[in-house]
Amino acid sequence: MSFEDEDRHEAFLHSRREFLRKSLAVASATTALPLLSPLRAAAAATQRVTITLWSPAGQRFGKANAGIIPLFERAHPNIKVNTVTTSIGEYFPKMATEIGGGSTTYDLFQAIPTFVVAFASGRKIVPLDDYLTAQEKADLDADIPKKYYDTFKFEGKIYGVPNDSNTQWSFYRKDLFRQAGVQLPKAWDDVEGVVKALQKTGQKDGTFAYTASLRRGEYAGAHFSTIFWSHGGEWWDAGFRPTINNDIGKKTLEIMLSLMPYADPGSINATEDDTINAMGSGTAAYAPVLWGNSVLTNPSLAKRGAQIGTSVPPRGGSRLASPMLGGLAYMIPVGAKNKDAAARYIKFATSRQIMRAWVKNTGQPARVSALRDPENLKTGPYFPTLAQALQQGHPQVRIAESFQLLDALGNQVARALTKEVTVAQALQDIDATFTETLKKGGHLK
Amino acid sequence: MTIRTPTAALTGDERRPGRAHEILWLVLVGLVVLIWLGPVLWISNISLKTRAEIAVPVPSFIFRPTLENYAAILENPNLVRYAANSLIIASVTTVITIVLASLAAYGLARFTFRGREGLLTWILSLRMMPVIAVVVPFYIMYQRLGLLDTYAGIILAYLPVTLPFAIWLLYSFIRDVPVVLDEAAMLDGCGPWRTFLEIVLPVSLPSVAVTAIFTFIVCWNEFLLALILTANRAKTFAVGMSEFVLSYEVLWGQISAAAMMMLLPLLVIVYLVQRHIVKGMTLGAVR
Amino acid sequence: MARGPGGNWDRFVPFQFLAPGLLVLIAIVVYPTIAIIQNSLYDWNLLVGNRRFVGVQNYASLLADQIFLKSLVRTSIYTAGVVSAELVLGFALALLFNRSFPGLNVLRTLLIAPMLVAPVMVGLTWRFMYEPSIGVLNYLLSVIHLPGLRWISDTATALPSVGLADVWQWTPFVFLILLAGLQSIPESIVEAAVMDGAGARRIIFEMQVPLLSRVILIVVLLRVIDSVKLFDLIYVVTRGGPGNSTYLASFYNYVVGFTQFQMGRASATAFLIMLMISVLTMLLLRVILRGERL
Repeated sequence: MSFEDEDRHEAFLHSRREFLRKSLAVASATTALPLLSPLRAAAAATQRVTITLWSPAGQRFGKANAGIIPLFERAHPNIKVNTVTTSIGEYFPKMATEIGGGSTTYDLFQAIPTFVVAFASGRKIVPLDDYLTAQEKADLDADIPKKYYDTFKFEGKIYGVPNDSNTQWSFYRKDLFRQAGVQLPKAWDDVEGVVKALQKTGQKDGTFAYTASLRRGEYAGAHFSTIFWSHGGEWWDAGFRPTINNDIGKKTLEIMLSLMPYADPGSINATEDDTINAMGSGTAAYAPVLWGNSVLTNPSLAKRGAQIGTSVPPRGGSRLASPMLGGLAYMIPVGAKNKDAAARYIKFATSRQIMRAWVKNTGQPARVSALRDPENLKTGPYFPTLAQALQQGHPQVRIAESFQLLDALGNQVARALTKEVTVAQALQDIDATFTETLKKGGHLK
Repeated sequence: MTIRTPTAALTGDERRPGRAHEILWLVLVGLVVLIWLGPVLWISNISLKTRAEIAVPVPSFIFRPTLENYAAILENPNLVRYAANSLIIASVTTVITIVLASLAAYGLARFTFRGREGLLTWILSLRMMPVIAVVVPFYIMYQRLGLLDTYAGIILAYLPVTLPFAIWLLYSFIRDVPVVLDEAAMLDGCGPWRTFLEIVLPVSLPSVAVTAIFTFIVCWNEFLLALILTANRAKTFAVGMSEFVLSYEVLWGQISAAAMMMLLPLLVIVYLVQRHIVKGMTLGAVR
Repeated sequence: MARGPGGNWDRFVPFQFLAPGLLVLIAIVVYPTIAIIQNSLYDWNLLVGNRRFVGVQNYASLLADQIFLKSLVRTSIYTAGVVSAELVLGFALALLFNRSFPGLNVLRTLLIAPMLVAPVMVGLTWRFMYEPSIGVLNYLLSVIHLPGLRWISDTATALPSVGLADVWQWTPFVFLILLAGLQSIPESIVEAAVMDGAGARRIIFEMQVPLLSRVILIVVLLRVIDSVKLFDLIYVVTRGGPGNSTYLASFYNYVVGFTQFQMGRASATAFLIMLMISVLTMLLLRVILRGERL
């Protein structure tokens, strides 16, 4: 069944349950009136509320939510959840316009950490602290890797609670590595050698050794940043002076350039979806940096699923890898009409108990307990890699201008990779753009 | 059947070229159209394949066709609704545009007055504005007016897109209609309105037909305004189609089927409307 | 006083015809127009919401931005190439179809099909066809023993590849308008020329083209404006890559507004793009009209 079929099947079952529940409710209300216990009376007296949840369509988001909503509605009979999904390519511009414009249509939505600082400082989303009990807060703090959970906090308050997490890690073809007689490289300095060996054996059946998401903008920017941060680099120092135009930046670009001759032709303009396809269809053998996804290790979705292994990205010298952190969390917009009910859903969807159902419905959890749960490993054998990578991960920068900076960085990286400019020129331009943006934003004096 | 065009001179024939020549010409044109339609044929090819067959590394032209993609589209109630939305929005916008634009084009084409050139330039300049900058102001304006996700809202948003284009097209065509027609009608006692409605408009029917087709297509295919200004109720087909592009794959089979299912009725509509263009042959009958 | 058919008219008369359309237009665009001008003078992050007046800083920064300037140059080259191709092909097709016999109607309708296919589908189809390994174009090339091209995977060929898809999609537009124009030329004039012994080349270039000059002008104007604003194809097929090779002005505008969420700068960008289009249009009008009245 295609994804759409499954969605509709779910919706059909959902509407059947709805009908049954409604008729049951009517029946019990009319016939059992004299037998109403005080508890039943209290429940019947609670107002029915409908909340609207907005999330990207498809795996991990729309599908996962659709899977657990019936469970939520059973546990909270007075709350109905309406979902709106938009395809992920169009989701962020539309979401930014609507939430930034103070829309009242949605009661809760999902977004990546980079939106938190901007939305929170612009007062477009509400803090969620008051909706969580002390116990719940402690549980979340203990179970979600601190570096990741912190990306959804701002000025000491919690603005987003995640049941989804993502970062970048390595995907590789175990069989092709074996064939070439090489091991997974532990550090970036070893990568070129391994890739060369893979290239030699791959020539026979036309597979490429290396693949990556290097499209201009956020893709190239994220790839660069992961390698850069893994070597100990930071975008700027304590005084917000940009620190990319230095030896670490130079080394990062040189590493990326050195691997280009072994890349599949689509890499230079690939998004993570293209790279996933390159790995999944057997076109490439090794993706050292790729945003996580479940397709590759799922044999029913990818041809070589069973052969694909995962690992944290290579180290930068002796430093542990620092892949960029992503993932989506639930947030409540200021214009939401039913904030209490929305918060109830958030608590339900991010609780420990729901994680197995979440994973079964294609979710990719943020809770370490869920990532280590043996039951969940059956669906997501790569979860341990994700758990490890999350602990090592590096958050994206926490200022409102982060989008501009990542895009500008990625633009220059792409120009360097296509040899439109030299490495030195690219680094200089990055420096200049960062300085201008940081000055304009009042961060750099 | 005679061919009375200058291209007849190319082949050296003048009045009655003979059937063989005509058939040859038809074949040539047919071939051109076939090659030009290549990508469209490719879409129809994909729409008849199963998911497994599409992912094959070597494209195949011989395979067992299946209708499962078309069935999936028909069973999707949302898509049918989006298509209906697009049809309504495009039709209403086209009608309003043609009415307003033909009036304005007549006024601009037939009369000279102070500010005429400036007006023409301003109208054209509206078309020069990239939609991206306009989208957010429209969103804010509509939020206050309660026009978000409504038919009226999106139609009003499309008019500044379609009107400049239609006005300029019709203006150019009406200019080419000989003024003697108007003057003859006015000598007979017709006022400007009667001249317009009974003489100029009927004579310009081919141009109106062409403009209507283009306006309809523009509305049908418009994406960015529809994406931002509509949500669920007024969502158009163009936006709906984009939802076949999932995170990890494109549902090629289904999106191709949807594209074909939309293309065919549109082709029929266009065919019915553009038959009027042929009538242009008799335009020269002034004397 | 207004001059019209047959003499002078009261100024009110053309106003009657213009009023409905103009009033509708003005009512709808007055707020967005003011908003864009105003926004371009502010630093406005769509997500945060608060705006800060910065005067012409947005414009200054754009004009100093190498990447933006390069995108303008790229767009100009692209537009010149694409519109020329569409004009030549469209005119050739119009000449081909400028006759009447059964079946031509159907063929003419079919030729419009590229414009009717949803833009998303057009983009996706060409992207799929351009795939180096599994795409149908390289497959066809291999069948006739030619090496496959890298199409949209190579910075040198990416922009022409997008241009090819663009020409494929919009030549029918040019074709249709030029055909309508050709068919409005009175038969009698053509017959007279043929009887005088004029050859095809003379008829086409010395009679038809000059008679069609206004129509050609409009078509070129409209296509230039649309080409500079090209967005859909870039968005679906290449998103500006590989590298920056297909990063055209309108897509730059989109990135600034909806990826970087800088609405103020995006408004300024739109204004500069509009300016560029006006300059191009002005030049074209001067060249094609050569002193004739509009």
